[in-house]
Amino acid sequence: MALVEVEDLNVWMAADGRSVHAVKDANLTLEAGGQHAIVGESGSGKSTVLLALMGLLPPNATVSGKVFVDGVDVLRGSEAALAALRWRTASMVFQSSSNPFNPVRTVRSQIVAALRLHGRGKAEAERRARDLFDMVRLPSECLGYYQHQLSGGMRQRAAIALALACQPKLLLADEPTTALDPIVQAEIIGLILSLRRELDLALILVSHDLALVGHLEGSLSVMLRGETVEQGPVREVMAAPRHEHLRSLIAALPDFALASASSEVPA
Amino acid sequence: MSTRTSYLAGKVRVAAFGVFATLTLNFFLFRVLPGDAVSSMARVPDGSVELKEALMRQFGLDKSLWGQYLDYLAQLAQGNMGVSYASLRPVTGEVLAALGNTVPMTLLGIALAILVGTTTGVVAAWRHDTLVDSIISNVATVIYSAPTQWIAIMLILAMAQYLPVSGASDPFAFAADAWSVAIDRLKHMILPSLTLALATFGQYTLVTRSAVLATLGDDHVAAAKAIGFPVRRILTGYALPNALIPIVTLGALSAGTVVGGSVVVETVFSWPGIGRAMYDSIIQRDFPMLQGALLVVTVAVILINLAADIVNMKLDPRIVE
Amino acid sequence: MSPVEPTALGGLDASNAPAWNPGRALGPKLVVAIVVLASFALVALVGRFLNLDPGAIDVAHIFQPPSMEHWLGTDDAGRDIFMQLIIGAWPSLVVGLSAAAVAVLIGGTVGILAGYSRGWLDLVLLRVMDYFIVVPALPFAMVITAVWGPGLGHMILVIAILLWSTTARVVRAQVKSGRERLYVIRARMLGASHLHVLLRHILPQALPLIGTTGSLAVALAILTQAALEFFGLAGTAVLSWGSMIRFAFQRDAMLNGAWWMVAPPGICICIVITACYWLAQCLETALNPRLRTTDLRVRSFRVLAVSRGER
Repeated sequence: MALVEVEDLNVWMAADGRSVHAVKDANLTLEAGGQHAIVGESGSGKSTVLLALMGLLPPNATVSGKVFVDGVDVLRGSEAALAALRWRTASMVFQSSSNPFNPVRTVRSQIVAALRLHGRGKAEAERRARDLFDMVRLPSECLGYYQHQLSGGMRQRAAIALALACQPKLLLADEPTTALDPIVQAEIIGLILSLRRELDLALILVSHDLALVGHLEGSLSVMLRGETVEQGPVREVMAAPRHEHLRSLIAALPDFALASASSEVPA
Repeated sequence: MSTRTSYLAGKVRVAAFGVFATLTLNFFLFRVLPGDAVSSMARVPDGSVELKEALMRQFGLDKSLWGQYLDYLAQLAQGNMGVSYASLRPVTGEVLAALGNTVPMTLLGIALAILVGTTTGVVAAWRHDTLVDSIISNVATVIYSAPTQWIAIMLILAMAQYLPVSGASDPFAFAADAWSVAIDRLKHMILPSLTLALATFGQYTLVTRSAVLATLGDDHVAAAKAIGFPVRRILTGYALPNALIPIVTLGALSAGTVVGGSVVVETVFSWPGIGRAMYDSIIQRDFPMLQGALLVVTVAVILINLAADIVNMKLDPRIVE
Repeated sequence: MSPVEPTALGGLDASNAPAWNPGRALGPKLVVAIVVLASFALVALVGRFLNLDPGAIDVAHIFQPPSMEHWLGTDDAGRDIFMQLIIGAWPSLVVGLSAAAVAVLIGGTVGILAGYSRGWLDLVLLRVMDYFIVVPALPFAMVITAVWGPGLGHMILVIAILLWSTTARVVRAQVKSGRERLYVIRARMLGASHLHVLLRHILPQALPLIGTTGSLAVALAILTQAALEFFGLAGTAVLSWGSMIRFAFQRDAMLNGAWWMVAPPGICICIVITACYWLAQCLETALNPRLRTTDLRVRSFRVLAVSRGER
């Protein structure tokens, strides 16, 4: 069985008395160590798919289909299995505008808490927190900072450190670089990609920016209003778009974007 | 972190100004009130001119207003708040004694209110928009809407056979062993504290509920769920600490009741506390006593508010920025 | 995310997005609140304009429990309690309403002034507000009433003096944030006068907030009035719910176990104030944007059975 198996996933969201079909018949298979990107605009349902993978959908969501991560039935399995899955098997990096750390505690305390929740001892957790910050190239004194004292880019690095704390097999990144400025964007994406290779993680990257994902390894799916309109290996999909939407997205890319994208992004 | 110290300095400055303003306003408040101080004090409305003049000299009322003000400040610095017109005993002693009676009772009541209020508030927020939430929120609102004196009287009607309903201790108890005296005092404290708790907990429930509800929408709570923390851990470790500030602020407001006593509760239960002392001194036109009591209480509240600000600063490092 | 301040009602102070959405306010709570308040208003008017009489002093029937003849029993002088309740409605409600109106008027004006001005005026007004919040309310009110003397008018003013600072605080915060809004700055740059900005931009945003604090003020006013009446500071001439409680206390209703003297006025006050709170809570839900919350359960979404999901 593959690491991630999503079959006929449908999500309906109820809001203000109406029901929105947020995700229509999504399918995805990802092997361990593989990489997949989902591209779409706001409202296309791409973030919803990510939430579904970790079982984090809100109470106004209705779900059908199958979602299996590392053999665990996310939708219908036991709650204990789902809770155990979180952060140990699959973890998430949220949008760069979000503030995932407890505002009144230091960044270190959250990372250590996550580690201790999942079985590490106190001393070991502290050591690992420092190692993690080295991994994301943050000075270790930042561990003692509060979230609001970190810049956007630094906060994302810390969030990546937090996500990798328990050595997950799968990393979900939901628009990790939106709202950051371009140089920092490149750094963060570069960091995620190089860490993925280094730690042999599976990665699912969600973005609205085709230029960002259009050159990556692995597979790509394009979502439009809940529907998956393109899916396949990145090169194939980009070379031969079947749907009007992707064609116009590619056409809208500045010429230099795709050309330079093939070179290594600095980590 | 010099922003911290400058923030703190600012708060201290405001508090100091508040204390000074209270001192001054307090002084002038009673100097400009009608009701001849000398007559009330002398209790001799038709006293001879010599007697009145002698009294005025004795109490320094013959000096100019500014002179009296300086005297007042000087005496305050020595801890002298004058002499009560009614009991002819030093005000400072009277006020301290009254405070000693009030604070244990009000502290117990408010502590109970905070405990019950915050717990029910957290539960209501966690189970928001369910039956549990409706019950908790509405019961809290209804009880909070009841006048304190009414709660007190209803409690007396219900419990008069089981618990003492008057005074802080049994005036006829001559068995002087400390244990039974303590028990006796505690028994007397039950109904007044309970009244205070019932009358006050509602606002804690509602404020805690909304504060926790607000934090439940924060990113870090969603992240905590994603990390796999169990419900209780998220509530106590992530939601509640972020919701504490409004609760602490509310607590500071309650400080006014803790220190100033509840005039209503103390009157209904004949509790010899500072609230009732203030009331009595108004009725008896006992200006020094009223002045002293009001001053002590107001200054204490200002200081408690300052302490609350400091606590808030520790609770949320973002406040200083 | 900056800490959100709850209001005294247990609502949330969302000064950043005051979108007025009346649809959210509708519901059983609002209906009940309005019906209750309207009914009591009706009763109050009946009590005020119909010359009702609680009956002459009837020494033979003092402290009678509720019966067919006297629905709520009699007091220490044999007078009918139910009748007193109706007569007492008017003073109990009109003071609360007027005091709240005055408090909101003063508080709203001061709040707008303080919030809109930038310099020393704001600072001074803030200090004044702080003083009124710090002073122990009831003793302060007692002092003033003792000096001014009894009477409904004086009580209205005293209560208003106590309450205005809370409204002022809230309005000030709202106006302060509203002033920094982009459209206000643009309007000023285009040459709009301060008055114009105040009337067309700031005021409409402050008004809904004034509505909620106003309802809260009514509740607090009625409670304060009951407390002042309990101490006899309203004068003996007025018969109101608060003074009924006072008489019950003074005339040993407790010793005689006459709960029917105490319970009804208190319950009436309780009901009216709860209705005020509910009204304010509904107004507040209409004011505030829907805030998202995270459901903390491990799995909080609905899952359809496999057979229905398959195509």
